[in-house]
Amino acid sequence: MSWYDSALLNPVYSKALEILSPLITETGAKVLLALIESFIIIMFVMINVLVVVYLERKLLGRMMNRRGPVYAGPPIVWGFFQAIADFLKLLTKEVFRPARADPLTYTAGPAIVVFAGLAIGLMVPFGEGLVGLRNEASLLYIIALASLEPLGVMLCGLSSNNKYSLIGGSRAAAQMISYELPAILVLVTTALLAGSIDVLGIAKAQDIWYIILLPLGFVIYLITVLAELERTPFDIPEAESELVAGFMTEYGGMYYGMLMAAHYIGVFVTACLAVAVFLGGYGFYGMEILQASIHPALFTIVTLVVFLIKVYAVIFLLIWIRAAYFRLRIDQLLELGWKRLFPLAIVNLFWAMGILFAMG
Amino acid sequence: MAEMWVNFGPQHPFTHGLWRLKVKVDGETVTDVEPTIGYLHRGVEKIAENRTWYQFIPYNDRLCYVASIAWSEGYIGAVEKLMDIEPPERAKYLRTISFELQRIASHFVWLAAYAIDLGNFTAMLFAVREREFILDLLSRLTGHRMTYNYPRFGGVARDAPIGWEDRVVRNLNRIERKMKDFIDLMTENETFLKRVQGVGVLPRNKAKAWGVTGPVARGSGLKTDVRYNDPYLLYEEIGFEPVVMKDGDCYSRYMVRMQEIFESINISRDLAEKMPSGDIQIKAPKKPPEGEVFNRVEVPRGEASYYIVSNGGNSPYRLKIRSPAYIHIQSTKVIMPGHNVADLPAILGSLDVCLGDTDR
Amino acid sequence: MANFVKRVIGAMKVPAEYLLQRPITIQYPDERMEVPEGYRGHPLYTLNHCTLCRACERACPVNCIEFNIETKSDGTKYLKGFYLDLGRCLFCGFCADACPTDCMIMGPKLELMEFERGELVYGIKKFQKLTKEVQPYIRPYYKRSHAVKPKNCIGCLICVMTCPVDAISEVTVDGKRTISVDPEVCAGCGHCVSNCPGGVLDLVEYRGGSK
Repeated sequence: MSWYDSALLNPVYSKALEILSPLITETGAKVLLALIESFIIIMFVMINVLVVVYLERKLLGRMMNRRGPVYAGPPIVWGFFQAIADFLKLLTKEVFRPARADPLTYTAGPAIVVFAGLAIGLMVPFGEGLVGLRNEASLLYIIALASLEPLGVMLCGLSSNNKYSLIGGSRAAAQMISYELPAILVLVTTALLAGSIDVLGIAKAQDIWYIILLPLGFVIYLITVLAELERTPFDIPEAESELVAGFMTEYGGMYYGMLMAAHYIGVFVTACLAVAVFLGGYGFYGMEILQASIHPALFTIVTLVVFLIKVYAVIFLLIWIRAAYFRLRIDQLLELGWKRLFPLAIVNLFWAMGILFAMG
Repeated sequence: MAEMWVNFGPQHPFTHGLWRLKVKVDGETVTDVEPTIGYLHRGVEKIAENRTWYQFIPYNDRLCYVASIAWSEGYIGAVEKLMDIEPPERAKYLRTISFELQRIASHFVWLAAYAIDLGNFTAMLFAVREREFILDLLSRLTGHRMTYNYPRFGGVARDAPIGWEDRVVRNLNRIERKMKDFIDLMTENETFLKRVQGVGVLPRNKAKAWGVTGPVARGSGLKTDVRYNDPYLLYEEIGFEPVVMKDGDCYSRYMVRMQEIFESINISRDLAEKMPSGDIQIKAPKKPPEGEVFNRVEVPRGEASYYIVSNGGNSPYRLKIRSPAYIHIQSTKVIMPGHNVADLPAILGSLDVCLGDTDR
Repeated sequence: MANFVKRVIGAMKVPAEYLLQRPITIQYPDERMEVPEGYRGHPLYTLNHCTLCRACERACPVNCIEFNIETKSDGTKYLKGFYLDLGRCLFCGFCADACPTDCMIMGPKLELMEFERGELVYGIKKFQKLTKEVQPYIRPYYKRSHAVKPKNCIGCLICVMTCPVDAISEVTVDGKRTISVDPEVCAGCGHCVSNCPGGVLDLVEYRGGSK
């Protein structure tokens, strides 16, 4: 199953297959179209990343009683193109590598981080039929890729040959690994409740949103998301005041741009996952009635919009948290992770089991 | 990780100026620190010997650029003692008010730096925003926003413009109202309290032994304040009482400064409401007679003192400046070892050093 | 526990409050802050009634003012060059305080950046341009010619003749020929004051209005 199975893209797909098959055989056409599809998904994620960056700058600005970006951009969304301007600026800068940094791992670090984020986007159900790659075990795939990110960050930190990067990288590793566990436990709990390890299956199983059934689970997931994304109050690996920029200290130009992009890809993708797992995916009340009454392509767009609204609600929450809190210390973070969140995640698991028994 | 030396500074977001802290870390734990200063040495004491008594006034503004008036007050007070003159009543009022306003402005700079040290941008911007209302008052009074060059021997440079007193009351009322933001965002924020409570304890006996002054000493339970021990200007009349906290940790130093902001608001508002009319300047002699003088004032960072020797000439024969921040930087050696790397900015921020007057 | 929750949730209140309020920012190049009256910008040598006394040069703590004065054989002095190094200037205002004729004032201009260090050394030409730019601001600080002792006027009209800007005009009051100075036009050069035989005119501070 792919985006081409959705009512939105299916006509285009069959038409394209019809035209291309005689030219480059049917297999060739399918491969080409699959590549185009993944390109479409990546572009979709990247456009949303631009929106996330804009929203973060603008909303943070307003929360701090200032304006945020103002100049680059069209009316109403003043400053929207600021992110593109920043991207172009980073693109034109020299790609710099410290003399004694390890060339391979230094370059591989940002690449891995970006790849891990984008690849998760392939399996997220953005709307009716809009799943890049439908698989019965997609939750496993997502968990596996999510744990690839700490590896990239650690490579960045260790290969830079810089003491700040070293401390930042080791902090990142400790932080991400200790927060991986509660996050996985919570995700597994939802899978248990839904009886499926497919993200789409979990989303579709939510007659009642899991945020209502598992409020504790949602809170734990939100905290682990903050920790894994290194956002305030857990922006410890890049703690500016003591470690300059943590594992990113030596990165400049487009390498830095990739790390920043990876951060915002992470924000978008994890918010998507939170919506799929806790907020009922793209589902909404009266969905079936609407599905029966309007054109399938239009219905796909409606579900996509509903999904994005929920995603941006979660992202708003993340931005709000960033404006309000201070950075915690690494030992406090680890204590919170192992001594509070981990037991609570287990409590959450038993709570879900209780629900399962109660419902029979 | 083996023990290693990490340089914090001279170019590092942690340093609050131009100096260097060599930190020996064992993993995340600090085992030893070594402060190195001298990067901002301008030879102010030697410059004083080559300037006339009047010409040296603006240099005092540049000792600590966020507390200009306080430092000029120290020099002016010393030379006035030497000349044996007393400013007229209105000038005393203007000088005391501007002195206290300067303290509020300086504490806001500290608050901004402390917030960003601990990873919150919102509180930093709010502090800078409120400081602007003080700068508005001071720029109307003195004609500048930063290096005011305001006090003169036996008076002040110029009179307050019409309606300035009302403006003082109005702006200070606003600041007092907006201090609620900091109470919500910092004083009663769990993440902030976690970072400062019980961190960086400087016990009372050590505080006394190392000679720290100002809010740092008062945070350790020492009731030392030049305005209280050795009152000058109007402090005897208003019955000044210093704020003292007992614990000696970052939190009590933070609370001392926060309460000092309120105290200074009250003092300057009361004085502005009962400002007398009259002369602002008496005729001062061109140069003081032969002799030597010691004068101390309470600048926002602690006790600043001037020792001046005059041989009756056009310029000081010898001028010695004692800076409080110099002592505070040295005291990092007793406070910091044993703490986490992430605690260093929290401790240093609570000491509130200013390198302009440390290196002189 | 309740206290803990309050301390965690309470901080979220402040950003939310400000999200709904208008930003306080002054968007700098588009909007500017009001420059308070009497603001000390950089020293501005207005060439207006300079007596070449060099008091500013002596008052300057950093020696950033330099006069180049040539004395002719008959003792008259004239200004060949004047340099003020803004790169060294402390903006303390001592030169303006020392100036006996208000020729040196502290101007209102705030944006002083240049691309090269040398361009910060301002000469006479630069000051002439700057003086014109800030004319509306510094006008109130000029001293203006004013008939302080109108009774002494003998109606010789030398002031009318010497005025370079035609600020003084002939009027008739009670059948007697006398003069009237328009302070809005007067540039405060003081030529009329030094030429008046009766000591009628003097330079006084002008703050707008009738005076």
